[in-house]
Amino acid sequence: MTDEKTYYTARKVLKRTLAWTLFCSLASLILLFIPFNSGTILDLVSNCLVATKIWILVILIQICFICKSVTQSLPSKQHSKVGSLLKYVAVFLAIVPVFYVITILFGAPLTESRAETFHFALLLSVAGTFPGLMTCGVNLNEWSRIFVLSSPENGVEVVAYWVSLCSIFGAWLGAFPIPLDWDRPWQVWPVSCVLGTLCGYTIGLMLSSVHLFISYYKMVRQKR
Amino acid sequence: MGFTLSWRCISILDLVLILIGTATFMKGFFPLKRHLPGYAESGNGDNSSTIKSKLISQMPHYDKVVIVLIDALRADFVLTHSTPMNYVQTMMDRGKTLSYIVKASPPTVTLPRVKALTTGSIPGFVDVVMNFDSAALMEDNIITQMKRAGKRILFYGDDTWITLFPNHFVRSDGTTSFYVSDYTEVDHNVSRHLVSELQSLDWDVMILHYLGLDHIGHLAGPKSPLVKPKLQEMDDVIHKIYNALEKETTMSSLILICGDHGMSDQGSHGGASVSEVTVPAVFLSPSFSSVQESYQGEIIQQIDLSPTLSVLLGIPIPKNNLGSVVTSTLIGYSKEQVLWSLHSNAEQIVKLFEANFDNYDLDRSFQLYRLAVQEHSDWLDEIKSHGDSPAVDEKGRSIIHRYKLAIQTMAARISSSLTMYDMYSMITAIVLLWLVLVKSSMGKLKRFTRNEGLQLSRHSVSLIMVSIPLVGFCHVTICTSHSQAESFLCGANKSSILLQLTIFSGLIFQVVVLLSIVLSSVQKYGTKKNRFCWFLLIGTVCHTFSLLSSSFVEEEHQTWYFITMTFHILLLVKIFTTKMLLKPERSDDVTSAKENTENYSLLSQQQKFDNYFSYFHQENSGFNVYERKFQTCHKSSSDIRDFVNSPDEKKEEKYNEKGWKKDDYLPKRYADPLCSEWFAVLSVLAVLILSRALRSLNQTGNKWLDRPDVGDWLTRPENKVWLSVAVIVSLATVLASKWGGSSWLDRTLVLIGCFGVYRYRANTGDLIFYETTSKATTDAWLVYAVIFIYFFKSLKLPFKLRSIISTDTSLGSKTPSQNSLESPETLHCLHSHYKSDSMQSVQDKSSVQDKSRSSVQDKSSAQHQARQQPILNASLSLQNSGTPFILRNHETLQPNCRIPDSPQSPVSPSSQQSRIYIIHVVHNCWILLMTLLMRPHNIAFVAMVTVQETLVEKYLLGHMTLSTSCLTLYCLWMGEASFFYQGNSNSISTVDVSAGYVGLMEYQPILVGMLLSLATYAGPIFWLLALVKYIYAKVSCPTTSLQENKARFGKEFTKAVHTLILTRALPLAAYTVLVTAQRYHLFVWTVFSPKLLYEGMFSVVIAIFSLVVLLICQ
Ligand SMILES: [Zn+2]
Ligand SMILES: [Zn+2]
Repeated sequence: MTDEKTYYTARKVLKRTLAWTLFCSLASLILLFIPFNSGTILDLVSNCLVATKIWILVILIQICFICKSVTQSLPSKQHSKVGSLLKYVAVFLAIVPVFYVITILFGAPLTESRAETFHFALLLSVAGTFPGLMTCGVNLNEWSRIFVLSSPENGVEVVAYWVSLCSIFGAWLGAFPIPLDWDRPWQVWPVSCVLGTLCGYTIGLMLSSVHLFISYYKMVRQKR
Repeated sequence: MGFTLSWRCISILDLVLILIGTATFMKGFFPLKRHLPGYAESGNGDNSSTIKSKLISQMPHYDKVVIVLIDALRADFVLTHSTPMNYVQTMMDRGKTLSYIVKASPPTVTLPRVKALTTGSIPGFVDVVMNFDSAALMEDNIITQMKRAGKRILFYGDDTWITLFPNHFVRSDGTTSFYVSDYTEVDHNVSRHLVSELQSLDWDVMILHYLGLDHIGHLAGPKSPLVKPKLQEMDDVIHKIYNALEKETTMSSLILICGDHGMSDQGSHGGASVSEVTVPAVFLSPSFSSVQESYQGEIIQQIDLSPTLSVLLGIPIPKNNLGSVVTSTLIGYSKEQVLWSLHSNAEQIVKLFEANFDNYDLDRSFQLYRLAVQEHSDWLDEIKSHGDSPAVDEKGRSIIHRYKLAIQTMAARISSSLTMYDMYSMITAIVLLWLVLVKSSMGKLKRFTRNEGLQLSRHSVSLIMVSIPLVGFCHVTICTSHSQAESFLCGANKSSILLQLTIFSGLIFQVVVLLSIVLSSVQKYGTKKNRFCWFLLIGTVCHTFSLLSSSFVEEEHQTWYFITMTFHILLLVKIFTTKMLLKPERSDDVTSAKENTENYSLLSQQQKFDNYFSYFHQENSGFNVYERKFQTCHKSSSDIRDFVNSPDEKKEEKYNEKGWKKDDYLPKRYADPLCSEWFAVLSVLAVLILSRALRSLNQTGNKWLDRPDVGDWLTRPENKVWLSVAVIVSLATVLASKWGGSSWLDRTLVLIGCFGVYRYRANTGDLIFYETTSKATTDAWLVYAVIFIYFFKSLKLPFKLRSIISTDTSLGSKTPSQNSLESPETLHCLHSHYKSDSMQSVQDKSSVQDKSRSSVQDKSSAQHQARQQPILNASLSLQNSGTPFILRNHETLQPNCRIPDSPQSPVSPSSQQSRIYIIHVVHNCWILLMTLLMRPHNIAFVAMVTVQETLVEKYLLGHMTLSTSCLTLYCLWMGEASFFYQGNSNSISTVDVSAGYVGLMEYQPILVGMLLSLATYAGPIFWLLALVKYIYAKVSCPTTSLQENKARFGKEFTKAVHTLILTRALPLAAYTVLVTAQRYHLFVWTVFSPKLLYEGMFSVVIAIFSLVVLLICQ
């Protein structure tokens, strides 16, 4: 009977994550493209720092929602403990400087626009590592299983996997327009990279919903 | 029938064809100017002209003209109020001058600028290249016109003038512009003639070309404190001339002070930046009185100076002039005279216009001219009848504007059409390059590793037979056609026919080889590429595509920095994940899987769940695996972890125990005893940080060129102490990184070399702490001598070594045992075990390996003992003679020496080791040469790159597990990045000219050219030499025979060269097409053409390197 139960758990996990991911990706899409170049507070070109801050919050909330929906359904998940939460925060705070240094290494100005670089690093660590942190915690083996072997389990880990990879890849791609001589406002550091990260994040959410949908479909068919 | 072509042979032919193709393309692309021969005659035009004028004879002109040409005089050196040229400033305030801002056209190099100044035409791009080799100017120009007008011309200054205008000057004294570090003597040689010349005044025109300022710019930049006294010196010269001319009241005189080109904020020139193209022109005359303020600072073109001077001197305007007379200089001329001068200017341009366009009279610009001439004659009639009135005056002014407009539009039309492309040569070259590219990539895809050559089928002979007349027919048809008759490829002289034969036989050869490759039945034989290889491949291709955008050409360094950085970050991630993250598992792995299952109950619920999930995901077959037991699940996932764990011998054993087929799961293993993971991680970090530091050493490119960088800061005169400290630290770093493992003699030599480098720089005045009064060149020669001694010593040493080893091995070879298959390998591992026993990991590894072979060893342990002895002796003796670190390296790099097929292989490691030793020495020599040639602040660059290379060699190469081709790509990437790290860019202006003159007393074209290209491509050559080192280390195996090794070297180097050919053919093929398509693009002269030159030059460097490698390294 345990098989049946696991099956249903897995199905429930899939369904919930799928629903939340779909919702979040749609929300991100709207948030990303409607205020673009509008001059409002969410506009990345004119209000880069503020918009980045807001986006960090948005991503935090979205990831929390996705993960929470699943942890509720699983009795054994222990993410809500205060001690582990502190640990996560510590890890997270350690990751931000790492991303900051990597950004500098890739050629961000060393002395100028430090606030921008810091915000970018913060965003990158939120979009790139927070999902992983929420699903694997500080367990290095889990991390390596998901990201090195690229074998996330169906459910939240798929979201974490796609979102992290796509965000980082998007940030990487975002650097390419900077040297072009178009002299557009969004070519200024770090707007294009932030934009790349956010696009990557959104695409990651979409990819994970596709991935989850396919798994779900397969699961249902297998059962029949 | 049919015959075999070796790959080496094909590679050599490819290299030659790439060079020929590129050269042909450039010859066809860089435009041939169509200019009018002969010289303009005075008063030639007025018979045919509608305007009868008696004004010519009454035209005023200056009797004495002095042209003071100050090389690299920027507009802001003179035309600002804070200029150090006080005298010129006061004369300006007194209204004695007319000053202009002159726009020079790129390339901003002296020779084309002098040509532009004298002929009034825009010189082609080729003149940049020919800058170092100037021949007599055959075009019509003002100097020749002055001579024809019987004027006595004097010249003092840059001797390019004397070669340009031979037998033109009554008296002259040339100074060479090639000894850049001298900026006082060169100007003194000009000024010393002034006193006598200003006394005698028996001349009409005196031209002075001062080079000192340009040299200061190249040495220290425009902000150097040397600039101010130099400008004051120039000011003094002008003061003297003015005073002398002022005294001579009987004749009118004029002084023109101008620059040929400006200088960038880095002090160089050649490009198209504002500071490089804006120069001042100041007309100064005692006869000027209170010139209005409004005339100051008008913007004119540099080519306008030639017709203006012609008018001012009363000589005909040069035939090929495209400039227009600057009418505001015509002070004291009546309106009729001004109009007359404009008219003759327009007539001259019309002649050029007629020569360039078939139906010129339909052109709009020509209509403008006709209109102006019409109005002009009407106006003259009006003056005759009505005399002067304000209305007439006003009309005259409007006619001046009409003339100017007509001249400018016609000149613009001509200059856009002056560029005539030789499409036939260009297309032939493109076809050739694409054939090389396609053929090489096909050859790469269908790699014939088994057989050493390419079988040409018997059809190929008939193909050649058919294609020869076909190609010949096409060639003759095209050459006899009207449009391409002047093509460079259709020449009829001996050398041209030879070239045609080479190119077309090359084409046919490429087609034949391509077809044989395509038709051959041999299928792809290759190993799977790992992810790094793919990244390198995709990156190279993407980079080539990025070159199609002009901004990515200007900012090419960003691309290289970015992708090398990404590569190293990926490497860091890989090392970190495979080695660090999964390490905790490792301890479990030693114990058997059973223990794992026992421990399993201790695992938390969470982990179980995870394992469960991970397993079903692994299987990828859906959810039917739910029935599997937890145990199996865990075992499997741990196995997968092992798999990632880059299995070494332990794992291998484990897999064997379990009955796994190791070949199925093991990636190409690398056993890297000395590469401890921590060292690897730390060294990647160091490489990353060094790359970032290097990037901020020299700011380059275009968009962020003016950002301050460390190099600028160090070269500032107030930071001389810091520069000296940096140089000392850098030299010490270079020494330290090459210190370990070399013999004392070598160390002493390198030490002397570094010492010589410092002394040289101190003597040239760049550094402090060790200034002596001796000449700097002797120090440079000391370094050259050290390099030569070091190199030739290395060639000799191996013989000594070999003798030592041969005596040792003679012992071992006395036991002519039947070499069982395992024994050499076991020997090998014992050998490595012995040498690196200090490292724990090595011991572990080899002990395991020993165990695995224990059965064999037991069988013949005595024999092994006997044979092991000589090897140990050999390695001991090697250690004593100072090459152990080389050995260590190639031990670490060589993962699996292939077991020799031939049983009688004599164990003679000496030959490879000597080769490895020599290439190390060559590399060290190169580093020394780099420190000598580079500017002092770039010695820090050398140090950092050396450290990077050392770290890569010692700790990282093993982790990359790259095939030879990918290793070549990696070294190329690093080389390209360091090309830009050293401050180069894709603009001509960043070439560090001073590097060509290190240690030279006088200008020797070949030596200078060689040193210059070596210094410019120092970074890429550095990494290419490193590549040779890596390949030797990777391939050579001390246990295999000499013959075997030679064959392997040959194969690997052919592979590497093949990759190099591909990486050259790819951008060249793409770029030639782009440049042809974009030949009317705005940036074609400033961005695409310099890039093409750089690519061509880099191809020459690569081709020479590859040929040397193919011919020598075996
Ligand atoms: Zn010059
Ligand atoms: Zn110069």
